[in-house]
Amino acid sequence: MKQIMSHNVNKLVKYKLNQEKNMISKEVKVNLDSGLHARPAAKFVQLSKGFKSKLSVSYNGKNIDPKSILGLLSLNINKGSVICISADGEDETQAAEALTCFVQQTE
Amino acid sequence: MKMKIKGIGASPGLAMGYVKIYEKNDINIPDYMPEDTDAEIARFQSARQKSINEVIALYDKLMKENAADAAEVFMAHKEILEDEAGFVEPVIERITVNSENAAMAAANTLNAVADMFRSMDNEYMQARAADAEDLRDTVVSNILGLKKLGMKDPVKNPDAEKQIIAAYDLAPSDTAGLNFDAVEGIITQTGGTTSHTAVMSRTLELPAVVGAAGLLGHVKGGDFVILDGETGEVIINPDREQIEEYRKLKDEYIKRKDELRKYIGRQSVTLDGRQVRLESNIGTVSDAEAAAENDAEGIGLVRTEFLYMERKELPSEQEQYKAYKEILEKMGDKPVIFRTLDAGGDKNLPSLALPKEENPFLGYRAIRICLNNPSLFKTQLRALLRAGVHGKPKIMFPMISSLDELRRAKKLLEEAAGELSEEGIPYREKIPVGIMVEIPAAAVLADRFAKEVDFFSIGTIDLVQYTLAADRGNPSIADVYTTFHPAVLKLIALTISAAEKADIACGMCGEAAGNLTLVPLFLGFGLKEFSMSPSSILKVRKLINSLNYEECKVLAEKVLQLDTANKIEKLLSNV
Repeated sequence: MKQIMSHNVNKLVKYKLNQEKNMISKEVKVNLDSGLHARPAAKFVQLSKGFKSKLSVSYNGKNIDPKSILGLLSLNINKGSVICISADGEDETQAAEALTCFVQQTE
Repeated sequence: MKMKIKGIGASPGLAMGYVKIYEKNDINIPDYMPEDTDAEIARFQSARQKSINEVIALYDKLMKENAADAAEVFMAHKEILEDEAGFVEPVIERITVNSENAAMAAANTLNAVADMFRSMDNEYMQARAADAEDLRDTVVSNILGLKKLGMKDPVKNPDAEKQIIAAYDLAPSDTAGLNFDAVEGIITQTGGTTSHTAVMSRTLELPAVVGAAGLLGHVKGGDFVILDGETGEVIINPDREQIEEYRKLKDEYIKRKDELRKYIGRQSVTLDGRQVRLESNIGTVSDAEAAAENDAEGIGLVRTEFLYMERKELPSEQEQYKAYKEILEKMGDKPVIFRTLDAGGDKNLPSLALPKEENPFLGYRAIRICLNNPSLFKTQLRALLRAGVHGKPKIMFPMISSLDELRRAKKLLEEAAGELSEEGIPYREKIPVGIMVEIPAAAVLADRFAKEVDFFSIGTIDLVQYTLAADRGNPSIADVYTTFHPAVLKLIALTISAAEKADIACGMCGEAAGNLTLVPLFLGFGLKEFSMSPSSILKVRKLINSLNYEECKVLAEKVLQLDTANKIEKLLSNV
């Protein structure tokens, strides 16, 4: 896992340096009954992959790219957790909106 | 050779057929350092693509079988194989930076993923380690050009299409890859009810037995076997009579299953209006789902040991809190009885490092360990008190033999509550507290205990063992160990009537509570809560719906007059 995490961290550093000031960040509470595990996690990743913007999800001090299912699962996000979703790029508004709506569903 | 072995019933149903042994490749990962890293990356990428095609094929196959839940597993596998940051890049980095060959790089990366899952604090995610390992074997086999071995030993009887798969263990992709037209059932030597094999076979409605110790030593390809996915029984090379009998049972089973589903949502009430509650015993968080599916009216026993098993360190308060909360939330407003840690006896937990004893069942176990280790005990009590706000919990102490023990346990519970309240941590006040009546001393003193607890739960398995001084696991004295013994039944009746007089609840949480021969008797004794394995609930409800409480009371009177187990069993079998 160290390998994977360090990889993500490297990516993030670059990402933070390159980002423009006007990226969108939203805090949102996860309502999905089974949290972001299993099926919802795979769907969340598929949804993320549909956007061109650079995306990130942070929770519990960790930051990951939601286009990576292993990154997402490593956060172990349960129902009721508050996560931060950020999007930066041409379709950032739609992306942030879509991902936020997704985790707010109650299944 | 004709013989019987017993495993764990993992997916209900009866199956008969010829054994096919499912063997896997021993995967030996080479340790050479590649010279041409680009070629090594190309090998990895082409194996990865092949693996993606394979998991998509499994997904399609399961969707065609209408097993969407099982199919989703492979959607997730595909996502992992396509995960650039989490999977592909780390593998390539291992090849280029660490000079690992493709097979080793893929194996190391996916092993790290499995470790990550295993370290998580939730049972569901921990079980995902098996997915990572399954993927590892798929990818590595493709890199090394190994074919899935799968079936070995062609069936002796080529006309027989009915196969029973026997394996040491089956990964999700193994199970999904089976030919469902030919496979009738599955037996594995390892695994428990939450193993992948178990879960998959339930969604596919394939009868399965797991944890059948010694299986591969006893069967060979071509043997004819009968398996019962409910009782976990496997008969190898049965005689003609047994085959006939099972054929009948199987037809009946199918009819009965359809018939039983009608009892979902019905009340557990006798013909003359006596209402009882049918609850379920569970050993893990995911068992709560099986309980809900079978319309359990509560959980009569949570065996909290699952949190302590197969690990070196003790579970933290937070970890326990989360698991208890998850169970309570799953059960909503239905009551859940948590039994505090019942370690020792036949359950030796590595995290406790218990010494070996001459007589473990009469030794240092359950509440005796907890009272001696207040901090271990209080950690669990605090977690239970905190989780309590998420549902309707009750707390039960196991192996109570004296009022002193009960009072000391209650005092520690009070202390734990006091600490939480001082720390300003929310918890549920006034959680009902009860004892498990499983030591004859507690049954004899039931009237005294009843004044100091909110409920009893009769644990029949140990009550029989301690009353008759008969080890339940010793086959040489299997005839001595019987629930029908008049002394055992008298203690049960005594406990129930003491509870009734003191106006407290009394339940039963042993296999006997789901035994159709005994249910009318216990009902007649006045028992109101029956807790059993989830698969028994609808059967017992059907029975209760057909009984008359007043008649059961008369039956109970008669039984208490009889002097031997044989006579009692005979009388009850003819009801």
